[in-house]
Amino acid sequence: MIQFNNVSFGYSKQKLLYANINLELRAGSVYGLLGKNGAGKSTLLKLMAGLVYPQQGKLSVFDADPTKRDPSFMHEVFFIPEEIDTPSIHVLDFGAEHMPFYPKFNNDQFLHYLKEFDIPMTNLNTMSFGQKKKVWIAMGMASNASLIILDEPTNGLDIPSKRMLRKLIATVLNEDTCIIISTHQVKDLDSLIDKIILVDEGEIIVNTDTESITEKLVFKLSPNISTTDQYLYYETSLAGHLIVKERSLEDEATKLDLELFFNAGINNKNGIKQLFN
Amino acid sequence: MNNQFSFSRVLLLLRKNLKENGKSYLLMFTAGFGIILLIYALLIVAGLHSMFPSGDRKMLFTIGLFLGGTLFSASFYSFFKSQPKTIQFLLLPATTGEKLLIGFILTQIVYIIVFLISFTSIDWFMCTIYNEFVSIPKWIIEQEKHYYKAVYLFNSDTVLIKQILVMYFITTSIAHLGSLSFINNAYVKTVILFILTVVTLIFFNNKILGLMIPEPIMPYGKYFTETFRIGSIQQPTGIVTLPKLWYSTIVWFLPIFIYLSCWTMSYLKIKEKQI
Repeated sequence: MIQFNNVSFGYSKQKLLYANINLELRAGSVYGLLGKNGAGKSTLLKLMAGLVYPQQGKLSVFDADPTKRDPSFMHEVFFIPEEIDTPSIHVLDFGAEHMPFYPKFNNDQFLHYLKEFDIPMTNLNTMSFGQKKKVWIAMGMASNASLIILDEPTNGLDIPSKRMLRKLIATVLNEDTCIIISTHQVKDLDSLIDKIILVDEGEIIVNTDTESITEKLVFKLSPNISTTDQYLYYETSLAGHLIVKERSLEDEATKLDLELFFNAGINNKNGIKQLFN
Repeated sequence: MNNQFSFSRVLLLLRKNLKENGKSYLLMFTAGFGIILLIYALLIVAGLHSMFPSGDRKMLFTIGLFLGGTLFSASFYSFFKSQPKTIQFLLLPATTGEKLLIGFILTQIVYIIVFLISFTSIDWFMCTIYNEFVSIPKWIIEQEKHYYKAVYLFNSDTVLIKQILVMYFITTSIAHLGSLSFINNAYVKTVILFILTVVTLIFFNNKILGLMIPEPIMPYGKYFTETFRIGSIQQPTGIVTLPKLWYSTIVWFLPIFIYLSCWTMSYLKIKEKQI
């Protein structure tokens, strides 16, 4: 579905943010794009949507060139940015004005999602940031686009709305759809994400599925740190030591701790890369 | 979905634009209409015992058209200040040409129609009031009494409507390009750049032509489109006049070239816009 072949990009030609990256994303999955602040998560999303253009290499999305921004490409892509700005019109008008541009837009779904999100039927101008964001999310999901990109979708959402978002994403996902979520708040969406892309300092550290992670790694809470064991990463908490280590034959599978995996990936880049690439 | 130009998508975009910005347009219109009405009314009230202020009216018409038109065009893409709105605009499934056409329709057609209708209405109203209430001083001779009769703007033969329209289309197309080129303070930056460009062009026009065509055959201070003088300025031996057709072609070439260049660059600016 999305193919990066030796893609390089930078906001200036002298300083590249990404150099010769290769990445493949497939339909039917929810991708979690993780990385520190300024790691280039939003830039990667913008490259996929055709909002910034690669300086080198080839990038194709549904076998199309996103930089051409053809209508046939754009009606298959819905981008929900981190910051939200809406015109001062009624929420139903907002949906009605966008509907004709997305051939698969389902107005009944849109109304249903608005109801589920408990959105008041008023002018967008009178809504809070969180409510506006939910309107955008509802519209994105109702567009039935094949590629839905969400940049920090849980920012500004209350706890019931985060739950609702998870439910909505699970509802719209099918084998032809690819959902990419960039987030700092991994705990909000870790139950939903089935593929992880970890980026840091302009490189893709990991692009793998959650099953592979739990197959290869063990996440444990241990009261002690053994000097003989080889840990990929550990950190100390009030309850003890949180450990990430390579899974051996004797180890039982453990539940994926996305936050711990993220920290392991950032702090022991080479160890994680060797294991997954 | 069709990747070629679609007129139905243009109508949808136009409807969307009017729905989302209709209130702002209405406010701008009300403010502009109010300012013109107020100034015109002050001119009429102050001139009820004197001649009809036709010169001031022309100035008001020209300033209203140019200032309003260029301000409107230069603020057309002011939403680029907002990243979410820019993303929404760029990713809306429509071609670049269709998106550009909305700017063209609103700045080049709708504005001028609305302005002409508004100004004509104000002018009709003010001329009627003037003709109704004007008191002509007794010492005015019969031959000069026609100065005390207001003639409607479009019945007046002194308005250079063709030249004004050409200038309007050029300045607003430059302002529209400025709106796409500068995110903040687009109007001020475009005006400064425009003034610098014009001054530079005039300077180089004289300097470069002076170098290309030496003094004995170049009338300094005259435009090269008019004539070539042969001989020194004190004692010319002849004048070469350009063919009339060529002269009129050059006169039209420059505005058409600027106009088409601005719109072509605007198209490319939207097409290549990154965020």
